[in-house]
Amino acid sequence: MNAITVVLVDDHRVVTRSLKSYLESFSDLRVVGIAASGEELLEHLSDWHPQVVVQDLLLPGGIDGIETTRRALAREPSIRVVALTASIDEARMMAVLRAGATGYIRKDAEPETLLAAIRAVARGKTFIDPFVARRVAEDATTHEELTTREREVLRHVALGLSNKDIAEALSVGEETIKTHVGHLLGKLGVENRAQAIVQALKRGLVSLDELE
Amino acid sequence: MNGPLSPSRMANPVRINTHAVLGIYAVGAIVLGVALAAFGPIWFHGELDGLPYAKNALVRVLGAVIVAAGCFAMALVRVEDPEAGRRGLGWLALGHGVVAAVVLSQHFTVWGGPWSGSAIALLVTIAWLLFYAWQFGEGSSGQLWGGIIVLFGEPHSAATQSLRSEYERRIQQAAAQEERNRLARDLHDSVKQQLFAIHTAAATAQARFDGEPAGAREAIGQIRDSARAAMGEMDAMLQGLRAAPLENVGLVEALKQACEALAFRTGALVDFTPAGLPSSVMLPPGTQNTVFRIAQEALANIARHARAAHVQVTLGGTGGGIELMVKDDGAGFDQSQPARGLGISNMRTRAAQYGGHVAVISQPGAGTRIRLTIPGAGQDPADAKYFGRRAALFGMIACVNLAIGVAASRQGDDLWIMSLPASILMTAACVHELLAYVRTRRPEEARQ
Repeated sequence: MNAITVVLVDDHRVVTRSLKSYLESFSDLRVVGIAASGEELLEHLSDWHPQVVVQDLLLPGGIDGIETTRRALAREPSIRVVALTASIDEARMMAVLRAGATGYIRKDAEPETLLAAIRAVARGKTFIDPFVARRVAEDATTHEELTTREREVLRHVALGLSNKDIAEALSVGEETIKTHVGHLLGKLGVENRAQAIVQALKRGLVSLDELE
Repeated sequence: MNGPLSPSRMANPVRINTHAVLGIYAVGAIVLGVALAAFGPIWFHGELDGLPYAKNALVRVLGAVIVAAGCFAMALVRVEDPEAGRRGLGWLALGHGVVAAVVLSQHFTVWGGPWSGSAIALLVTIAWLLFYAWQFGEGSSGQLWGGIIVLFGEPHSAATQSLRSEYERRIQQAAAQEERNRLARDLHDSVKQQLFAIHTAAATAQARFDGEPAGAREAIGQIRDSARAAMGEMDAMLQGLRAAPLENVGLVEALKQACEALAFRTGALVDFTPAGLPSSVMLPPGTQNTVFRIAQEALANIARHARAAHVQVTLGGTGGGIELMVKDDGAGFDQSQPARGLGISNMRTRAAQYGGHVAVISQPGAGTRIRLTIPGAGQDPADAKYFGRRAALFGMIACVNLAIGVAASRQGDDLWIMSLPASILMTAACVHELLAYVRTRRPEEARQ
């Protein structure tokens, strides 16, 4: 099995150094690059060619973590980004998910959580820190009108299923699911599936355990 | 400071919105002045032809002076220190007196006879002086006194004190907030990251424990390194916190401690050279605190960004003021780029509050040099010469005023009465300053 290639972006050297030796304790992970700033990441992105970028959101000066994520994905759409953050702020979380990150982890989280997140996003899934997800779920508001079918589809989206998988699970055509997903993204006012997961949590459509 | 402020004293400085008054005045004066300079000769005499040129010139100069007064008032609106603002107001009132006196004397000596223009100018002056006195009034007895005495910055008047302490309280509040922000930033940049590293390295040790004992040992070594670094940073920060109450240890000692803390935190060689400082009487209250805060900010920048091997901190007095130099041989930064999070504008703002200046010279790879200069208060307020000069100035103004009055009365004009109030006020102020002069001279002689 090929190792997942990872790049770490953080301005504190002690952080990237300790993360590197932690991640490399596992044979399925390989740290191929370390950047202290967004600019440095963008400069070396094509050389490193990582599968996953672990991105600290708070970077001093220059471009911040959200902007770095946006530019990195514009350049190399195949990479997956795990945002690492010291603060839990829903607006910032939505912003970085909108920028294209598919993982969102607190810096205070257990290293195992980060490990799980890297493995999940490398498989194409979305991973939200359970602690953050709980906060978001507690903050739940009343939902607007989603049809029963749409709620069902949203639940499956939140569980990380692709349109094809959902179509199979609900025994309908993939085109139908595409239409449903399009509608529910519009109704939720979000732009992508990662953001839709946050909304599903808020509505209590999925539980945290299911997301694991 | 005279202890806690009573509510009645605090109420005084906020009773009038000086900025609004000045703003209205400035706009009015500029419009009136421009109009007077442009059309004054026509307004006063109908036609331009056949008028004495000198009179036209006088009216136009008067217009220009009023515009200048308006501009000055506009500038005062932007002054934040209420004491400085009100002192400016005093100068404005005085300026009105001088212009009115010149216009009146020119008018009476050359053309004779009453002229409504100068009468109005004089009335405006008196109105200004009364307004000014009212602003500084401290109870009924000191109403007029207050106004005159603070004209040139009497440092011990009660009104000035209350303004000064209100202003200082605001600055101190801002400084305390800033200090908290700095601490939070420091904690985030140092100890928090070390703790993260410890946490992660511990997980590494666990993960490698069975399969790869050498890796686990290495991770435990990292834990120890990070823990030691965190303790060192924590100590440095605690020392910085303890050094903060400057009143207990004095500026030199506090700076020395801050330098030691920096050396400990970064491993750099930090030289601290204190030279003779002016006595604190010569410096506005709070100056030393400001110098220390700016030094702290500069040292924190070195700790965070510079990676310097040598740091030089020099503190000395120059001509009654204070000079601080912080020099490092670290990474430096590009001055053509907007400074990011270095707090340099913060340092400048702090320094400017005391009339000081911060010069920064830096280049990438060539270190950074920060030089702070804060001028002294100039004159020692307790200096007898200071009161002497003020007495002479007030006396002179009183004499000019009286002379105008006498000249006017000899012309048979009853307008001379109008110059009396200002003359009396100035004479009284002159006497007050003379008394202060005598008072301060005596102990000085006794000492010698």
